[in-house]
Amino acid sequence: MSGVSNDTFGPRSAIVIEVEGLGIEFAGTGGSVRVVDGVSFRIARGEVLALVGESGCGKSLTALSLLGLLPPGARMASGSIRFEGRELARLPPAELREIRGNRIAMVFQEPMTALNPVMTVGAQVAEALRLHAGLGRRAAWRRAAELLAGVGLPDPERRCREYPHQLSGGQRQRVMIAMAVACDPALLIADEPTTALDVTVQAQVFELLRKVTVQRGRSLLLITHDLGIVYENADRVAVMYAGRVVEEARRDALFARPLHPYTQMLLGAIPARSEPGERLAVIPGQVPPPVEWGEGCRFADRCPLAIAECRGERPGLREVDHGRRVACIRAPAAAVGGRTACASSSRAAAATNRLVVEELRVYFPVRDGLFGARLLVRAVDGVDLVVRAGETLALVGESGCGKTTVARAVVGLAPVTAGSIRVDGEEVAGRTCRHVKAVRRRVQMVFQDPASSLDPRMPVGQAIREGMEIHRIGRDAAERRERIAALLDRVGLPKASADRYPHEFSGGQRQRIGIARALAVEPELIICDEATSSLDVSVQAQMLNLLCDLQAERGLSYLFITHDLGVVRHVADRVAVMYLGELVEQGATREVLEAPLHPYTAALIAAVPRIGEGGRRRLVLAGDVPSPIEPPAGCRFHPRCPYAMERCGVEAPPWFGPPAGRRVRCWLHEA
Amino acid sequence: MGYVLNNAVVAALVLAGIAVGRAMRRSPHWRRAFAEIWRRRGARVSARVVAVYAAIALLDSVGWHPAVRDESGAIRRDTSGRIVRDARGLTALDALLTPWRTAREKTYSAPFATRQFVAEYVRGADGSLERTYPRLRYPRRHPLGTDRIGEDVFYQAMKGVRTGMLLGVFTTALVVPFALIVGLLAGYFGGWVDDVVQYLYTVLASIPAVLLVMAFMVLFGRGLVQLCVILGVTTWTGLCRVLRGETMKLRESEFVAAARAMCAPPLRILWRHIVPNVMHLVVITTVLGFSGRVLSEAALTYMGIGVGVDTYSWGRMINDARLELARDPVIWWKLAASFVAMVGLVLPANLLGDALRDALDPRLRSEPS
Repeated sequence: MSGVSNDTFGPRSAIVIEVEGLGIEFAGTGGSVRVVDGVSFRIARGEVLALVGESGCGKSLTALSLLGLLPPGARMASGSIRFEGRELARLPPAELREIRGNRIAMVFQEPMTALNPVMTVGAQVAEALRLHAGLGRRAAWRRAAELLAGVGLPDPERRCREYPHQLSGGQRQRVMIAMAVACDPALLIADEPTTALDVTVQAQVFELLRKVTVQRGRSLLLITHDLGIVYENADRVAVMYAGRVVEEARRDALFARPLHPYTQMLLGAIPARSEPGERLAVIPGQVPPPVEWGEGCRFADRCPLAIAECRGERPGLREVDHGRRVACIRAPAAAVGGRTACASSSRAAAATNRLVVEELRVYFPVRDGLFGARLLVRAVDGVDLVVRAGETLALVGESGCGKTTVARAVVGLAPVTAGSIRVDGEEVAGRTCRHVKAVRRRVQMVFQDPASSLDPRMPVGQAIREGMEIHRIGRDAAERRERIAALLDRVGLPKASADRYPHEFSGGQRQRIGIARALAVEPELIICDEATSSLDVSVQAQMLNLLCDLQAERGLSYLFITHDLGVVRHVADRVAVMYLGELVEQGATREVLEAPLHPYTAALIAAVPRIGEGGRRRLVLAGDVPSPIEPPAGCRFHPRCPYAMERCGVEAPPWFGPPAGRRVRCWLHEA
Repeated sequence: MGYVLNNAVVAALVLAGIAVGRAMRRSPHWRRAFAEIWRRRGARVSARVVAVYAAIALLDSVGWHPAVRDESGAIRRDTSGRIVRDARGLTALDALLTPWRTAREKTYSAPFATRQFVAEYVRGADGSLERTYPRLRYPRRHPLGTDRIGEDVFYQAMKGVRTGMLLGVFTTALVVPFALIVGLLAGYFGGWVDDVVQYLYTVLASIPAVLLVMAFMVLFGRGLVQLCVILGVTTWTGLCRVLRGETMKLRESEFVAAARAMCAPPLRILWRHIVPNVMHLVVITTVLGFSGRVLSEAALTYMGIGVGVDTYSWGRMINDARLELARDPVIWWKLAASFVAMVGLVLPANLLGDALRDALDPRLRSEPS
């Protein structure tokens, strides 16, 4: 992919940074806890190293320690960091400051919080230049405009005078990158740089990151949990688990034949790599917390290949064929077993319609400034959906396209401006709970963020019981207690969980509670609003398997709101693609994903990093989603569409195709 | 009359306190919170100090009217043969403090003094005028000295406890339910409810509090209950504003959305989800407000618009001390006594409030329980 030699590390002189036995400790009340334990890696000039791992594995702390920016309470307890031949750990603070920002720069995860909201972006970029490059006020400003132009911000002179909130998420991340590369650093660290961004924007950002680093002979350390991104962008990969690097290899080798059981199972958990209806490979249990890390292999308790020796001594990284390194005593011989099918999946959907949404419109009034005119945000603008009994419909689109608003309108959380929502034939749009309580029970929602969708001061059991009480399910307290215990058991939580509070659970466990809460009222349709997006890959796999089993057991229908096409491919029978408040394409999952008709669907699919298909993403959409306050005339996608014709800007296309089957709204497919 | 009203209030507060306590005992959440508090030494000590103050206040609220006796010790009767009773009455605290209550000196004396603080001219045996410091009637009896009319300062400070506690607790008891209900409704429902509430407290906040207190006291007479009511009127806005804002924030939270999607009625959401999540705010604001009210009683009485002249209070003591501080040598014990008594209540109350807040926030709790 880039100019790195075939050898794992390349010539020694080309090493930019070399981390050896890095250990980071957190000082706690009961002594210090080691959260990063003996991490070693090197990055050569012009190379992209991806540090991959699930949340809590210590990858972000490792990155921060390279900059000397460890959070309070954490300290580097052991090891060395050699950057361009100098030992950073022994450098006086003044010299470290000189290197930080100048020679090593960082792009953070959330560009909104990393930028100062009360400074114009030009001033912020210029400030970095004046501090590190010693430029004068005017020169710095001019250079800032050049840099912003260099990262592809349209109209940089004007953008310089704007504030962060006036930019879109993708534009803000571009500004962050401009600041980071202002002094042309030798090493750029990108910590989950696109987690907060949509896939189409994600592709743009990585394109840019590669342009400003690798293509100029600089190095990039990419911290991420997304293996698709790793596959597309990294030259070499280091997989971290519980504070240690467990496997390190060149990208192709790693994806072709992962050696460590953890890597194998992690790759197996990716929904995009599996067949629909198949159970995802699941890593049993959870990552042990740092206080429970003992000697021996930390993955042993979850590893299907573990033998007695695994628990004995700590396996070090040892070299196996051609500079690949793996920390497993059973590698490279052992391989984790294959996949199994979902519990007796009778996924043939019945003919009855559970949910019918027709011409749904949801407009929100907003005010333009303090005294400005009243404007309408057309969040949802004429959406038709049908979810049949026992099937899964995925509603796909980028953030801000209105897919969540559709979900909220269906469960009565968003006001319906016009249109109809029928559950089992009964109209619920515009009706309050008082009138349609019995119908509302049949549609439940699992929310995106498991942390905020559970009341922090309500024990889990009570949260699950609440719906039962409201809908009078279960005769008395004793029966409800029994049901709660059964539900907790079904979603894979211990019965004692009922008396605990949400903060005592991990993200995945909380999402299980969310599912148990929805199941408590015996619904027929569950709306999952990005229910698995905030979870790590292995936890997401557990969750998707659970949902899959529940569907088979109880004949549930799902409306899956997501932006992750990998998940869609795995779970959905049919897909509806949404863009700026409107549906643009509908059809069976396989047909839509394999032969998209609408250019937007095609762009979405192309923007997803694919593992094992060699090539890079093809079509990268330019620009951002326009404002839903003033949607473009004609076809809403035409300003970003590579195939736009004159007619597209004038006349909105109608549906082409049968109402219940495959259909698309695009003039390209007229007649 | 005032005393009867006060005692009715005390009885109501005690009953309310017992009811709230029993309700809390039933809730595992609060039981755990209190267990948590009890583990901290500072909070434990604070709770005991506040409990002692409360006990003193209660003792001072239980009383009777003893029969008046004449010099010979015989019970005095009026013309129709009924026993004449002391109009002012005697409380359990008075009875306990009898050694100090009855030990009247002529005028100022320093703590634990044997002689009077002020010199007097005494005609000696030879008929000449002699300037001496006369011996006290009860030497070494007064731990905090006596004041200008010879009353024991320790006794006064103790009598001030009830006034301070009643003010703090009763005003709080008036304010919290009102501010809670109004703040929650305004924050959750918004619209015209919010407009009305906001209008109300903006108007109230724009009138100087002192002026309002003064007008109210003129209208309804000076007294403890009146003072509590008007202090409640002037202070509910702070808590209400905080609760309104927090409710508006919580209303948009996902877990409230989840409850609404379950068809939970608004009152259930308010009671089950929002109230527990604002309780820590109520507690901390209440406890800090409690201290503030004890202190503002002192300030208002000092200005002459607080409790009546016949009520013992720390504010009155400070008011008296104003002139004493201007004397030379300075008479410091009355001010010091009221100061120590006040700090002794306010500081533990604040510490307790802090501990309570920490314990009530499960996210701050260190270990899973």
